[in-house]
Amino acid sequence: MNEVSIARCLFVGFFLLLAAGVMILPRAYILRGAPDTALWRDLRWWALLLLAVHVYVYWRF
Amino acid sequence: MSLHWIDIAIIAVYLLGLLGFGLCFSRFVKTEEDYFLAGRNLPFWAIGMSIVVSDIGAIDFVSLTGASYRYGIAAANMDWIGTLPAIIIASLIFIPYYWRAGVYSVPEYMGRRYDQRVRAVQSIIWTIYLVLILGAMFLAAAKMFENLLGARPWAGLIPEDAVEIRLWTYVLVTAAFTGAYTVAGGLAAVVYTDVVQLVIMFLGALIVLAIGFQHPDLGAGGLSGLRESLESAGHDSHFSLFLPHDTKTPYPWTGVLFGLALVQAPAYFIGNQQIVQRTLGARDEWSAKAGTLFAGALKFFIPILVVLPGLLALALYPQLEDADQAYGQLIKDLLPVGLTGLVFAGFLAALMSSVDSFLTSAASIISRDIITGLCRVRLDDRSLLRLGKLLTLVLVVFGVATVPFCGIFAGIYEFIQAILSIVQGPTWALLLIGMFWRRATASGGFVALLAGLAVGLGLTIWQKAAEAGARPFQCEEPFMFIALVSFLSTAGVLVAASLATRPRPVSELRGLVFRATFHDTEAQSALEARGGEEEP
Repeated sequence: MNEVSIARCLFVGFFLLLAAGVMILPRAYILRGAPDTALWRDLRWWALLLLAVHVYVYWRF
Repeated sequence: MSLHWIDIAIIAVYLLGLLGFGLCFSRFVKTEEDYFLAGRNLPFWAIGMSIVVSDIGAIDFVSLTGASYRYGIAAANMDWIGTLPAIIIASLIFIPYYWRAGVYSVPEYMGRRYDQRVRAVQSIIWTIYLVLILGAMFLAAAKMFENLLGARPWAGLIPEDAVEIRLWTYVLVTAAFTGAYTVAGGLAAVVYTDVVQLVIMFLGALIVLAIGFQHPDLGAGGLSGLRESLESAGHDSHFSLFLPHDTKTPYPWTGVLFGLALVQAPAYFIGNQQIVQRTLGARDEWSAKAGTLFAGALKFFIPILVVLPGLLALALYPQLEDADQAYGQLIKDLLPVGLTGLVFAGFLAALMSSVDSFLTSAASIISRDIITGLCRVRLDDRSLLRLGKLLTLVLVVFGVATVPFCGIFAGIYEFIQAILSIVQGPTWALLLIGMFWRRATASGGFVALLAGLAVGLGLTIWQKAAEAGARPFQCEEPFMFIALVSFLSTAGVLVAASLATRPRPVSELRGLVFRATFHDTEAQSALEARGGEEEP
């Protein structure tokens, strides 16, 4: 495993760790202040989608 | 290059329209809160768009494109791993606390969490930074103007070889225009003009990319054609996000991960008034959080719009003397009449949106934290509003005055990063530890902040002054490592000094430290019943 491969694994691992952290946040905390509780207002899904895109880019390049 | 009259007309219409739009908001500004926080009524989409367009400015178009010309897509790390993790942490952990605390600025929060000494140092260093960055932005804009327009518009007025005089003329024009609607409309004008400017900026940048990728010199065209073209020219590493740890470029992967992603980026998105101020103007807590996350989504596209043009320029013009001229060269050579005006308007949008943000941020810190906070000057609301506007005007003048100091680094972008690397490490250490460790004390914070700043400044001077072999870091402009070392130094001193000094009562920290926010109301009540856990 060369240096770049190690770096790639560390970067992707960092994103995945963050995703895990996001998922342990309770929905009530995320929705605090929201005018309603519609699914799209759950910011955890926003975060997970963005993280997934970044994981792909860092794995690819 | 001389712009066609159609391009000039497009730019003029855009500028006048934007000025008029921005000035409209002056009608709604009645109080200091209206001026600095847009009356706390901003929706999430406007916050997100404003954060992005404020973050990416003339400096990015000129300098990040230049950085990708020199180093490849590793420069995109600044907007990808150097953004998203920090934005997620900011939006879901820190921003709710700022918003609930009802503060106007990050130093004001620091003052509440630690004490007025910390607030004073923070206010002063952030004011210096914001003023210096204004100078760098004016200089970047002037360089772009010069690259696009050259000497022809000034024929008969300014000698052809008087580049300095032309640059100063462009600096003054830019400062006068951006200052006008910012002074009049405050944060609301800034945010809503930012929304318009983001659309123009994205549109202009997409046009450059679309036309650039069709260039016949790229062989197959598109991204693969560009990649083949660069690799055949020997630029093998230009399509890698990971550069070796011992690279001479500013983007070694170790620095990107440990310096940028873990220190600089969180410090920037959590401790930077320019970014945070819009979220403080949100209409509710959810909008503050969502706006920040929405900015993270939009930021993903920035490298596509800014870094790829640098690679295009490298493939098409491999012999550019100054990499910072790459974007201007693309506009000059690729775009037809009409589109040049639109793209140039997009560039101006990026420039103005950043300048106006820095102006309001610096003015709010000086007004709230220094004049009324530290100097305890008591003013009525009308006088505070007048003060805010006056400060904004004065800052325009100061920004222009600092322009000559911005040319001592290799690139403008590196210059900005050098300043940030000194300031951000200590700021982030204080915010992070202060948020999660209630034992952190005011005196500990003050001593640690001074120590961290001294370490960052010392390393920067050492790096600049020493001979090549005697430098502490071997890569060019090692701002990420400096930020990391100053962060660790500050954290170490903060922990040690806090343990040696008396802690503040828990009751004084209510709402300022992160406690039990993972739990819903029932769980929170249970925790309180069991052990007196405080409310977040």
